[in-house]
Amino acid sequence: MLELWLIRHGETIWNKERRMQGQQDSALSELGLQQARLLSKRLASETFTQVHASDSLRAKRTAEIALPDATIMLDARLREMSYGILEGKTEAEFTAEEREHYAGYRTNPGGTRIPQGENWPDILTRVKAWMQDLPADGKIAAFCHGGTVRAALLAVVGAPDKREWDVRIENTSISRFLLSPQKTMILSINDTYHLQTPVTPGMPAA
Amino acid sequence: MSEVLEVWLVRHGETQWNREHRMQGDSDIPLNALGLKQAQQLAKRIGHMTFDAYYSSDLDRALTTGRTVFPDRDIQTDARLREINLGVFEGRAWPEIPEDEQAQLLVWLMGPYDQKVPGGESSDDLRARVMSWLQSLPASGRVIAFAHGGTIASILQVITGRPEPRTFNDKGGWGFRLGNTSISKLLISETFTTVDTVNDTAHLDDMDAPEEA
Repeated sequence: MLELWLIRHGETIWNKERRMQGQQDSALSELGLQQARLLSKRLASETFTQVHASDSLRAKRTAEIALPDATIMLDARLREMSYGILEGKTEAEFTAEEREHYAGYRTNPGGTRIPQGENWPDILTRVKAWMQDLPADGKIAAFCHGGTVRAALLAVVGAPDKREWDVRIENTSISRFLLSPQKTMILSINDTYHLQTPVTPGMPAA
Repeated sequence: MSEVLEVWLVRHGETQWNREHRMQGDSDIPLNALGLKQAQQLAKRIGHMTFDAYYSSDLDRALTTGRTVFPDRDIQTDARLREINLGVFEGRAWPEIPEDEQAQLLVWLMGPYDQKVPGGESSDDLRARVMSWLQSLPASGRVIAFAHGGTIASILQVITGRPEPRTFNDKGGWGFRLGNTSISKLLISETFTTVDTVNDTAHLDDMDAPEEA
């Protein structure tokens, strides 16, 4: 059996500015760095047989802070969904045409491809391929993105083709799966308990 | 912005039958000492929070969990939140059930979902009553319900869908793990549901759990 921990990266400057990231990148914000350090405390008592990360810098950096001693295997299949021509922009900066593409994606994510970007079947295919290449046994942490975690969950429960429900995946949240050849158990979704740990006021973060 | 209802779903604390891996179903088995302790840990975490309504299954293990967390609130019991009735299998542990009978029990997890457990309910029966409860909730605000693993999984699967019906040895099944006193959260609007959290049991990790905001 394989226990899989999927972890979203910490907050970035672009997350804060509500700028579409997709496969472009921006640095972790101060809050994002702090989230990664709190995550590191949380993971200190866990032992992983492998550690994977998306090759986008925000995921790799989160992994390096959270598990400083780990050998990190970078994998482009763990990247965020590509938002094509919308990447790097906020909603306020969209042209009328871009606004239309964005609205299409919001109302029908299963059936929309933003120009020069990916659609849901694309990201599902690469995330499933990554999952199928994993060893059958062990405990793996994978540092990735909101879209990647959603894709893994939808690979298990089936992808909705209409926009009826979604799952919340917050910065540095942990979602866990137990995979066996017969059956997948969803152990938890969007666990952010480490972010609720009070930080001593006035103490610089370690 | 449409109205949003935040629904917290809490599984009861441990019972002796949980520990012995016995099917409980509608059998009214009380919390054991650990189960009570788990409920007290949950009370430390969320006991100070205020909800617009408090609900519980009318089975003792759920209601006692709820009353331990919120001793002075009005908790409305609702039989629609009961665990699935497992009929002739209640009280038995999995290894005690002969192989030819196991398939009769597994229909509620793996389909066909309209097939009743002998003497008990089908997955569809359970789904119908949890749906009826969900639809009776207010359109907005924050509510909490103390219930059971089967009930909560059934509610989550109203949203995510159920696994394709299959036989026990086929590949491809899936399910939710819901630990004792785990919290799962949904955000429901008229048009859209967000699965916010599933199976959060962090209050059991340490004795000095911080308070929820």
